[in-house]
Amino acid sequence: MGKKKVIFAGAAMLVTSGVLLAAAQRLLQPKYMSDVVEGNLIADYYNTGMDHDVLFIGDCECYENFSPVELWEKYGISSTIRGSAQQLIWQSYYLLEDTLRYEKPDVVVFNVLSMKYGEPQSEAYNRMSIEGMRWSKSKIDCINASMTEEESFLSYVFPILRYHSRWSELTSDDFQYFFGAEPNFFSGYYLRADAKPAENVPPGTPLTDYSFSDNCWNYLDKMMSLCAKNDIQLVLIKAPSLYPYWYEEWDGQIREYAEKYHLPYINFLDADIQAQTGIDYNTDTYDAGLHLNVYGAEKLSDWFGQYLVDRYDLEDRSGEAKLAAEWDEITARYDAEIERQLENLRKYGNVKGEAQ
Amino acid sequence: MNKKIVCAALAAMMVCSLTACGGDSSSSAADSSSSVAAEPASSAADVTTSAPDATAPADAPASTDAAADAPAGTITYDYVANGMKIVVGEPADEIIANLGTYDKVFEAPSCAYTGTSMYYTYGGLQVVTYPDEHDQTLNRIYEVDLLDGTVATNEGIKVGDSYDDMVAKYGQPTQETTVFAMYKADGKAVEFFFDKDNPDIISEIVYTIIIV
Repeated sequence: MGKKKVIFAGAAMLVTSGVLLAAAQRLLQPKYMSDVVEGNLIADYYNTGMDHDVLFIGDCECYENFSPVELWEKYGISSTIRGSAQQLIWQSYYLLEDTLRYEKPDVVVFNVLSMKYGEPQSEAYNRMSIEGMRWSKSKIDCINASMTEEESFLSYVFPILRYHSRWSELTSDDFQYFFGAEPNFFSGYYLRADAKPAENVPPGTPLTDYSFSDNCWNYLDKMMSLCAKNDIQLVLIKAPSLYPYWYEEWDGQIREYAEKYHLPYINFLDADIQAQTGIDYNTDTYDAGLHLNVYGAEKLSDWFGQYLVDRYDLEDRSGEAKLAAEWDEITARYDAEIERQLENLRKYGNVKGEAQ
Repeated sequence: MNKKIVCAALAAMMVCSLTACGGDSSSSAADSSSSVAAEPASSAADVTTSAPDATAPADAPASTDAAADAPAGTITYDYVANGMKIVVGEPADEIIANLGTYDKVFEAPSCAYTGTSMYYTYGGLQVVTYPDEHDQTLNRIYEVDLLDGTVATNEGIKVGDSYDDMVAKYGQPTQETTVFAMYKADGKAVEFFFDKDNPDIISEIVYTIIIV
């Protein structure tokens, strides 16, 4: 065999091995379609038009409590949510960095609950917050800031190192969504149309130390600086979730910070603001006060949309044809999803349509 | 060493899994890290004595093993109700079943996962469970809270008692500030919190695990 043939055969073998390995890796990675759909939230952003006036960043208190569709329909505000389950503050920061690679919103809204976590918490949630990010320096920094002791950087580069044992757990979803997930969300919003009244919400167990960690303050500083550098208004919020408990000592620290740096801070748990938003915890939450359902999210977004318009000179962009077409598609899916869930509730007693 | 590893794993699971969006990270935010060393669960039973019956609500599990005259230093770190030890970090289902009918319950489902943290209230006693990180069907005890004066610690201290009452029964705290006092040993702790307006009076008592 000639030298060229040997080189060609070697290269072909290498390419074939690489393709097979990549295919195996893709097959074994969780698809987050039928179960744990929140695992697709972060990647879903890249399917949007990336033309947003308002960016929400934070944990489930963002992606389950604000309806970008309502903001668009009522105020012509184009918004999106970059949130994931138990999204830690440094993950929010690096997602902000990542977003700024593609667009520059006028307002960034950060939900402050994650200030309570000063250190990496859980690999499962790390994976859902990070794996969907496109590769960039921000993603690399996010991985390094987030890894628990059991995790390795290499397993984020080659997820097959983490998921190789999923062979025995593969389902039809893994094959059906091999080439990509279907859109599950509505500009980052996770929609629920059922209701479960808030009852017996426990009071917060006292803490031995209410101080937020230096690590969290550092990332909040970085977030503020990054927004200032890009001429973006940063708005701090505490979403109206009754649980996990939001301590007044925590609230005081955020208020002090906001006052010191002249940042707006809205605690939607404040009685006055609750009265203005009109949220009814008997009808507007689907899990007894942890998260709002779509009716609560729309009420909250109605109030917050007016707040944004009044203060930040956001224009009604509903007349922009390209943007309107994008939102028409999202809105149609949103309305259909509400109908689908309501139909399932009627038929099966649950939004997922699972037979009891 | 194996015990230390098991306890470290338990502590890590607790930190990670009391609901995604964060359950109450009750014990020390300042202490939150990774490993912990704990005594075997069985050790506390030997030193527990009885709480006065008068401190327990009629139909709620009572702390039955406390010792009104327990000498300072013999502190029990596992709460005992109806003669049953409630060990933080251990499986919860059997304990909850044996505690009887609760007065109220609150479910806090984990974000994105199937596990649910539960808050069971029996009069002035609250038992909090969390789903095991690796097996969401397995619930573990997260903490035990004594919320009012109807229930007492194993040593006979209850909400409404004073700092001096506590010291008389428990001795000097391992750690204290103006708002709490903690007794800890071998990875477990009993924490006493004091009324904000009257810092001499105990407002809540928590049995928990220490994460070093």
